[in-house]
Amino acid sequence: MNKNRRLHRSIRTFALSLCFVLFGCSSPQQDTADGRTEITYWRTLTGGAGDAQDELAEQFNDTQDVATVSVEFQGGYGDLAAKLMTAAAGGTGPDVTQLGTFEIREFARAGLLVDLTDYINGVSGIDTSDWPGTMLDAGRVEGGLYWLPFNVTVPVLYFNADAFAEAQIEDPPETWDTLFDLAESLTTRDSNGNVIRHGLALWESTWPLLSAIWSEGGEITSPDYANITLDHPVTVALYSRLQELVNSGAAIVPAKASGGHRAAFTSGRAAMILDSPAPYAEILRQSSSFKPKVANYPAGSQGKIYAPGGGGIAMLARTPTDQRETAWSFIRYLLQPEQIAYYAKRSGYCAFTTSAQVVGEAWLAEPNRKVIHDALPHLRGDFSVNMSPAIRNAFDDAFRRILIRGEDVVTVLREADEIAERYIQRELAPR
Amino acid sequence: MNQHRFIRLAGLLLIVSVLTLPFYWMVVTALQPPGALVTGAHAWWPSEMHWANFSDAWNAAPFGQFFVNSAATGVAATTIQVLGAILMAYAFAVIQFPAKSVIVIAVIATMAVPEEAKLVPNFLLMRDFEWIDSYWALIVPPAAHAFPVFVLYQWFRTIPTSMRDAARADGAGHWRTLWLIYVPMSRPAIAAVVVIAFLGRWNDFLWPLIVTNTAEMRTLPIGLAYLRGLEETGNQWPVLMAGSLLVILPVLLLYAVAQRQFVEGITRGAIKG
Amino acid sequence: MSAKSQRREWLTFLLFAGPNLIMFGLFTYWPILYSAYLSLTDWNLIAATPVFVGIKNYADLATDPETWRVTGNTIIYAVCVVVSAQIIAFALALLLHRPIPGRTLFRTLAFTPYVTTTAAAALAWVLLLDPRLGPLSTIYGLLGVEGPDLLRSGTGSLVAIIVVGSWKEIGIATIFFLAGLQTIDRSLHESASLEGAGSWAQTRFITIPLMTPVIFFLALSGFIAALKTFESVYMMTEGGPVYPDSSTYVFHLYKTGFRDFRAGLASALAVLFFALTVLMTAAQFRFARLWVHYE
Repeated sequence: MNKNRRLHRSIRTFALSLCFVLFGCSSPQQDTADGRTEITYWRTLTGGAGDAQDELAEQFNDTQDVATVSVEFQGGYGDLAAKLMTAAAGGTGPDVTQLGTFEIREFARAGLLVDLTDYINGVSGIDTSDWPGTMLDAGRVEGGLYWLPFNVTVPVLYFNADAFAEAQIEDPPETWDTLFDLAESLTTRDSNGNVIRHGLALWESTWPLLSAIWSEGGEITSPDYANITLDHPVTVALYSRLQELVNSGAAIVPAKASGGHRAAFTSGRAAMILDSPAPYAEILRQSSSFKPKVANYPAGSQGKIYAPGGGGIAMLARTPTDQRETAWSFIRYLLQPEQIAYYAKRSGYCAFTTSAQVVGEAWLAEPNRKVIHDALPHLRGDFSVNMSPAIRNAFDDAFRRILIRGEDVVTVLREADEIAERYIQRELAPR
Repeated sequence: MNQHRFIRLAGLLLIVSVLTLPFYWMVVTALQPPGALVTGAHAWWPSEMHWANFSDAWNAAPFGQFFVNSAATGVAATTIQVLGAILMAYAFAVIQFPAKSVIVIAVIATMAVPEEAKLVPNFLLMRDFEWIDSYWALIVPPAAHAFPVFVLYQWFRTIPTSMRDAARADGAGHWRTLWLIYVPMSRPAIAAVVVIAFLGRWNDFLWPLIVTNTAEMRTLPIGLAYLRGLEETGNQWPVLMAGSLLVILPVLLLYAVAQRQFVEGITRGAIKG
Repeated sequence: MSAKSQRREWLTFLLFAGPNLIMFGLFTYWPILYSAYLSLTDWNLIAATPVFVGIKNYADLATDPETWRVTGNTIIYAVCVVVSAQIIAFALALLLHRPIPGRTLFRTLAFTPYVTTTAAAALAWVLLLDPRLGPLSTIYGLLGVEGPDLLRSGTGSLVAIIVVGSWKEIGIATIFFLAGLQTIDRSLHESASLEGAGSWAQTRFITIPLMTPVIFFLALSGFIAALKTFESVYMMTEGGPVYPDSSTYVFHLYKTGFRDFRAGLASALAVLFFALTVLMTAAQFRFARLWVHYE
């Protein structure tokens, strides 16, 4: 019976320790004893782009004694959106949040976000006169302003200066047509005709193509989504040309796992890539066998029209009215020249306002950094494409069908257009 | 005969090396210097042993706190899950009750409910219980799980009724019969269920992400999210794989310890049907 | 049994099963009921209230080609994973059953896939399947061919998901088979040997019939688990390269609810999933009588 007693005792110990675990762990209450307003900020992004947000919040907490901002990391953009939606279903959530572009319209229309119009124009507003392009348009939904850009990126062309010199090309391409022609002349082959170096490595993303389409006078959609034109003649022409380049070996779409287009570039297997400033430092460090340089994207028949990338900030409607001023003061803080410059330096995103560039002057003196920031005035701050999952998904799928699987350009784009039109109805349906 | 043995060994080596290849690849990648992958230098052996990946991974997020949380909530949830399953499986296998088979089927059928479909309704419950961002949310809802009930139910049914009758003749009720006969005779099955339940908790990502907000309450798989790259920059594979190994190693050790019991455990119930 | 002792028996049942029944009621049946309600509404989780739309979501699902595609994908996935994992695991168990050098080590190694966090394993597989960097590149190099990039092709991406699912399942299935083999009475094989039956015949006519209960148990629990596959798709392909090439039912459900803002529609998917899975499980039980031999 000794054995049984031991068993009983171990069960009892187990039960006791269980109670201990369960009752020893109630949720920590936010300490508001110092009378400061608690503001919760949800963010995404990792590495410097994530850490810098924590640092800015700390600096904000140190500069005033009205509010304490606590920053909470919520995974990638998709995870963050899922969390915001679940929290909203339960009437909880943060006061201020980082937000990608996909969710702006849906969230704003559902009443989840606060209209920031009065705040940005108010006494303690933000002077947006030096913001590039129409950056505020992205956050405009049905007459309100629900989102402000924060982590902004611009298109950047990276090119292998050695390869250019070898081919006796002096300057980066000025037009899209030149760029595609250069892709051909920069391609080198061995005696068997196998490609040694591709002229252009494409990112498996439609973002760089938007700038090309807009610059040549094409459109993906009208601002109100009433007229979706994924099969616009400009887009058809662009894809046809790219498909031709891929078929001949002048261009390639490398797989993501191998490091994608960036690895192709840094290893010298591709002479040009269309990218953003985010990987700038990495690319510079890893391109050891040649001299990498940056340039702006080329111009098209309409000049230079660039698509911005990145994310922004929004305030949630659940924030009590008496706390909204405080929540706004944090948003405002993040978008001051000093903070934009600080964030740009830490994260690799852009110091996207002129005043922020003045603050970050020393850091921007580096020639390549300067070139990157030269793209800003040409931004069309219209995230419309990235604001609609229906359109973006259809467009991305078309990219892969045409450039990876080699399907017929016209057929694929027409089908993509139909798919986008079918699903946009669902997205736009009144709620 | 020797030739036979050689063929068997060769077959074994082939299958097992394919099975362990991903694990091996994680280890090799975790030891590569940063950028080795990008420059295309990746190979079957690290170009240099870059142990710093492990400390980089560890420092990228409050992993120490996450370890404590994962371990504490994992142990507690496993305990509740297994205790509940033992009691329920015994009731299902031994005790008489009207329409018992309907209840049994209703419980087993819940294996067919995907976790992702339960996220929102259960989140609403957590809010009502005021369990958001607490251990409670990580422990209690996941404890309702049909698989351990299914395994133990199958197992208990194989224990001969004569054992139970003898205990009853000694004056033992159900409670004592369970703890003095069924549980000691089912140690392997219980060990198996413990390992499976614990692994389920240890590896869960979505539910902990949804119900916790602060680093104080978060678990290891969320820590891995800190290591994933930005959409704009791509993954830093060596650090990501080093972090993954840090998460996996404790459970591998647990399995190594529990292995013997485990191997015997899960199957007997299945065999006798 | 007297009425009094019967009442006691019932009460004991409730005491034993009760705590768990309450948990199942709260955390599993309440979500099903809630989903059933939401499936009759149009809601995006964030609007103030769900709008009642009747069976419209179910009608929408029936006419959306994506629903059928992901259902097909999922069934293909589940069948392939269950069948391939069982065949390999059975072979592995036969090899490991009799004494062989390093048996314990092999047994431990065979189980590593099941222990590995799915999220991490999925990422490792992305690297493994890369035709330029992974072990595959070595094989392709030896063969002197330009290897296909599985994750880039329509069928290939589904195959990749199946490989990962099967890989994970083999570990646990092996353990089940091993223990099953140990219960087979050795004298059966001995007498068969005396009668001149070869090892294949012994496997075919003695081992496999005796193992049918294990096979059934694994097929059933493995099938249900396979139907619920989500994480590997979420981490490896997001249903691509061209949606829904490699999308599974539950990934589609998640995407519908959280990425396309259609919680009502996603709830209809959840309800249908539960109903269909229970039906398929019941069918497996019925069909099992034809081929499962209990002692």
